[in-house]
Amino acid sequence: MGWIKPSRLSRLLLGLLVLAGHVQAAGLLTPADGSLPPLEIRDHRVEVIIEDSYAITTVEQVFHNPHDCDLEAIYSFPVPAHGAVAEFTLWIDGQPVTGEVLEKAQARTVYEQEKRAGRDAGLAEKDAYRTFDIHVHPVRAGQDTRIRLVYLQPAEVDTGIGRYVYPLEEGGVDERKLAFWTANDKVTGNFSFDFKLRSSYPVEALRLPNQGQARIRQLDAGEWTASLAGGAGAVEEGAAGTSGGAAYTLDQDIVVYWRHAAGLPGSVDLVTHRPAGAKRGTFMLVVTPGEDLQPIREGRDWIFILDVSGSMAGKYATLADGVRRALGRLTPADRFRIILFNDNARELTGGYVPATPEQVGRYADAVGRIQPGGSTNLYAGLKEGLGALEADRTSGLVLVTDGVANVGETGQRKFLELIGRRDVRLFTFIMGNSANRPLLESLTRASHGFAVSISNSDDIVGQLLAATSKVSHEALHGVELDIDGIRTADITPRVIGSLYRGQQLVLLGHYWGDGSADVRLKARISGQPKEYRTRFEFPARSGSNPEIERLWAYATIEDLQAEMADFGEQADLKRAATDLALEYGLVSDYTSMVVVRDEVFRELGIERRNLERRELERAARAARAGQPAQSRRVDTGQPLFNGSRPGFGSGGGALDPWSLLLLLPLAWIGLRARRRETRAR
Amino acid sequence: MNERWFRPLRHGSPALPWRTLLLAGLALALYLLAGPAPEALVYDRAAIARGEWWRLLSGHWVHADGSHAGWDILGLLCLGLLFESRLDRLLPLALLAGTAAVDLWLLTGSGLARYCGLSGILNALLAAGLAAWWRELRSPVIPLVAAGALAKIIVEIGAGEALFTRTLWPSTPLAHGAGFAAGALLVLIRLWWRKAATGAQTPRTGYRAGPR
Repeated sequence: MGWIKPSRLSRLLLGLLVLAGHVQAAGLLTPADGSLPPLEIRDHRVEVIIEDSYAITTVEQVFHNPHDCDLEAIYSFPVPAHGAVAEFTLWIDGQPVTGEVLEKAQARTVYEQEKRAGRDAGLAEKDAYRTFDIHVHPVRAGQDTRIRLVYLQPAEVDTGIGRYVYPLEEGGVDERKLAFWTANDKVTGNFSFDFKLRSSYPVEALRLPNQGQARIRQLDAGEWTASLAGGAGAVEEGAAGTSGGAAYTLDQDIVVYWRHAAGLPGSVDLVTHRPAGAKRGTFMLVVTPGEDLQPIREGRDWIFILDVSGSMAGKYATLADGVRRALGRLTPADRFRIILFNDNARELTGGYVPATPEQVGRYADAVGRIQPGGSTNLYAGLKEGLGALEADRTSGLVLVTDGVANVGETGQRKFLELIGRRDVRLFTFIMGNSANRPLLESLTRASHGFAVSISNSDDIVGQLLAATSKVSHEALHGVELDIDGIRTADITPRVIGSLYRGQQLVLLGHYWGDGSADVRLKARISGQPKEYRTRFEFPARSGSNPEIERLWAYATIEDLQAEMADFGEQADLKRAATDLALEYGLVSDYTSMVVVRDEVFRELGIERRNLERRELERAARAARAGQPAQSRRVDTGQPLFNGSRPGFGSGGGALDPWSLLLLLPLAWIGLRARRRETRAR
Repeated sequence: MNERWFRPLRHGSPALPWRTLLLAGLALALYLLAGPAPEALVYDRAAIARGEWWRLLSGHWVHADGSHAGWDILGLLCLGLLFESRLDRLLPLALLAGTAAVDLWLLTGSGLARYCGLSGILNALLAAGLAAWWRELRSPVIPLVAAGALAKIIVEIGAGEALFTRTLWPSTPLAHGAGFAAGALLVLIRLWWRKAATGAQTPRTGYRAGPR
């Protein structure tokens, strides 16, 4: 009997594990070997509030231990895009205790100590870009344990369409987790999802694709609510919807879209936080460009680089559908190539193919027939794609992947060197929640392209339409923003790069002083310089949005991490990221949030800074809730853009079989009338 | 086969919907030659503002994808087969009214940046055709069909999207509503016109009849 090489063995194992589909969703983890009995998720309640520029997600859960011994609960869920965990609360003796952030190793030590001592403790950790893991010990025999988790993230609006994802579907890309854990993703009691949108701009529609039972209500021009409910438990008074009777499964992302009214002007919105007496304020500047970018009409070359590895198995149907539709959007003047990669890269097309309907249909079918399998040699795929470029044609690379490079070259720096060799735009479609988003976003930034996240629950047509409108129009390249008259610093992102049609520019930073500022946005459109100007006020005091301090801190930590991933870990950068996370109470790659009894916090000398910050944020949130949504627009006096924001076109909706069926009775009476006429003659 | 059934379809026969066939052929040719949602022909608000006014017309005759084109062209053929001979001179007016109404909605009410598709106009044709049939046949089936079509439009407007179709560009049921309203309005105007014309003639007839 011959030996199986370790790499082949690991691939074989990975393939089998992917097929087994152990950890594919958010849920309570139980050792796969059955050494410990599983706990139950009794309740899972989600509340989301989006107020123009950012989203606050609160998840409250009850874990139940049906066994006769105390057990540890480990709840794992995918990291939301740019989501900063800002609160972890554990109910101890019926009272909520809010966690504090410590360095990762220290937090783990404190948690383990308390666990050994048999005292109540909780720990929220971040597993890189993959998952947040919540540990709670003990869930006492036959009893319930309640936890609450709050995270913040910037609200995403693109081409007038806002998008929020509550990530539940795990990507199946983490071999280690797949090998050791199974996830119990069933909610045995109540599940609810309550979404509230408070926009100062009018919102025409809100919808949840794949959630037909959602209750959607419009309260005001920009205020909407949506709710979902399910689970096997009884319906409580005030709970939205009705109980479905069956256990709710946390295996499908919940995606919410909202559409701003058409024809809104391009705008600059400013949210600030500056407590009384503070010398320094924090700002969040959202620039929504007006329509100023012309369509690109000449034919172009497109190289599709498609991930067909085993981890794509659950997402491949979405990928194939997306590719079919993307190819269908090309014009006959365009050409395309399709490159597939898993263990290695290979070309499906055998050279450039004109995007005629026949060729598009042929290759879309060929992509649909492929069975994903094997590992992810992303480097080989990219290298093959870059090698296929022809110098004399405008080209774009479209990379579709779940983005976890696990064989071949995997270092981020090597990827950046590779993409830097050719002047080409990389457009990345990130599938699922477990992608190596930092790597893919770095690559995309380096090539001045853009990245789009795709969930299996997404409206793939809508996402594709947004992406198509970007690549088919000019873009603002080399974007810079100057603020004169007010001292600003610590602005993130440090390099803005390119802005594509429909994209917003979101900047976070600090400012000193107050009063009027001259703001200039400089960019190049098709090589020609372009400048936009406006003037607005930075306030001396503002206290209604304290959350933006944490958003700034988390964005800065992500910048520092990107820098370390690009150029290697440096002690000073790591220290800076850690200090920021500690100061602003954020769970990061270097810090975790630990909950222990109040007296233990005191004994260990852990300051309750996060508790104070949480109280401040809760008070501000309550105050905002009592008022109508405030307009944050600051450039009304001197608009930065003349045109209105780009929006989407619409097909008007084709007639359908049901419309034509309506005509059947007419055909019948028409025939009768004709027969009568014939007889009369 | 039965000669009776084929007689109306012979060349030159008024029963064969030549104008509809021509228009359906045009829509099909545009889709086959220019492809889905051709950049130069779709309704594009920014381009229209730059003076590309033809898009107000051409946008209705191009489609976002094969399914969109297929159902719309099939719908046009069915409506033409049923209504063309009875609408007669009202047919081009219904097409123009549908075009104008959807364009008016696009420019003033929708704020959509881009649009394509024939279905708005088809709804104008449906409303006008149903009215023409009602005048001649008075069958109770006709108002029932009209009510069904109207109910579907209202439900879709309420839902914010088409109930049974998924095209590459999101659906806009309000365009169907605008088209249907235009068709209905056209019929009302025509009735009023005829009534006014008949009313104007009546005294003359009476005067002539009186002293003699």
